[in-house]
Amino acid sequence: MASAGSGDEKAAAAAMITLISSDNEKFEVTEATATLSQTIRHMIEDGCTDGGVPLPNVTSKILARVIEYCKKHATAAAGEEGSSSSFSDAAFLEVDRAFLEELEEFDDAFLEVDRATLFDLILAANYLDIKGLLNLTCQKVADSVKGKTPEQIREMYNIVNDLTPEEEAEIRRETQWAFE
Amino acid sequence: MEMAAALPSSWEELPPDILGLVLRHLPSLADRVHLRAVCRPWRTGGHPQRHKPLPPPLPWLALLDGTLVDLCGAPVRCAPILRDGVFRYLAVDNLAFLVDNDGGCSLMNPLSGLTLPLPKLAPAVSRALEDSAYHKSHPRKTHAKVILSSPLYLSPDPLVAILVRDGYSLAISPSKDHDAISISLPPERPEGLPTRISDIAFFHGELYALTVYEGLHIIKLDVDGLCEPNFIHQCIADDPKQQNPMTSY
Repeated sequence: MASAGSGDEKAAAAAMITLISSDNEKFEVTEATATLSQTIRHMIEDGCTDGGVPLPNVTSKILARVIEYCKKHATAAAGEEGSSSSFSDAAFLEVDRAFLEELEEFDDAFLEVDRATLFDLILAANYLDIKGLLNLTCQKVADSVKGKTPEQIREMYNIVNDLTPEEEAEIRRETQWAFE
Repeated sequence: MEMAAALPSSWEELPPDILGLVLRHLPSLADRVHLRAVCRPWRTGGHPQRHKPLPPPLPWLALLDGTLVDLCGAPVRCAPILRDGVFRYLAVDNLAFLVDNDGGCSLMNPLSGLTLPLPKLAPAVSRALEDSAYHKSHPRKTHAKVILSSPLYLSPDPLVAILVRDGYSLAISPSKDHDAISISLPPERPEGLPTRISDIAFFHGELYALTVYEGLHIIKLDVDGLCEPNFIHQCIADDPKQQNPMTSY
């Protein structure tokens, strides 16, 4: 995370970056928001963000959601740094807790999306290397399949069963107990 | 930035790395198995050898009626474990430890039905029972807890340690070429009974035994699982003020 330590970094935190979606829409974001993506962070470090960062794998619809996530979590990270110096102050801890709860609520609401959007968010988080978002979306998928049979999972995610009868028999032989 | 050649467009095409992340968020073995049985790409992409080792799945609990549940509460559906000739079974991680009527011990994988016999363990358990004060009154309640030094998928020949029912001794089955042994902790008073053990665990290759007075002993074993000279070392002293916590015995 960019720390607000030196004067140079302070100046950098205020710098704006332009992100360009696959359908050529431009998004202006602060560097603090953009660098939640390791991919973009590396591009900034390499000095190749002048004229905007083209993201040919991410549509404007998904990029808008990703930026929404990054803005919220960049604020959260800045808030954490701000309060770490006063760790003994109970009032600050209280603020921290309230903020974390708010962040959790934000994440829950953020994940209220259809399966197709969830899929695109996962790919975008993977491509942009945003660990928190990738973790959050994978957790969502995991929660949705808990206690479900393979057939229920296929229905939920619109997946065609392409396993041959031989492969299915093999899976059943290996793990008979799970399919009764 | 280069354009990715072909972006995945459906859930079947979820990249294997991401399948691996989803699997990490599934603590139940049954859920992991189900996810890998959805379609061919998920089967190959979710193959355990493609990923950093996943955290071990939740262990199972053995219920008295011969069924297993995992710690999420999901029933483990498997062929009946309590079949003819088996009078006791315990859950060890994701395995069933079986004791036959004749005392013979084995580990069974209820997923596949594969069984690993532990022929050397029975004599050591009998020896441990001979030393024990109560075995005559509880002839069938013998094996209180069974632990493995490492999961079977990591090593095919783990050490097996059994806490014998009343906690006065342990039976340890070392690696294949050696006989199993039975050991007891030194008595609290000279001429007294051995100090009772309330729990055992493997940690970093060493066997730890917790006494009923919350003392902790390390039982040093060599690579074959044989005891080293002066092999019992007490690292936390017994606290005589502790209440005896062994209400389960």
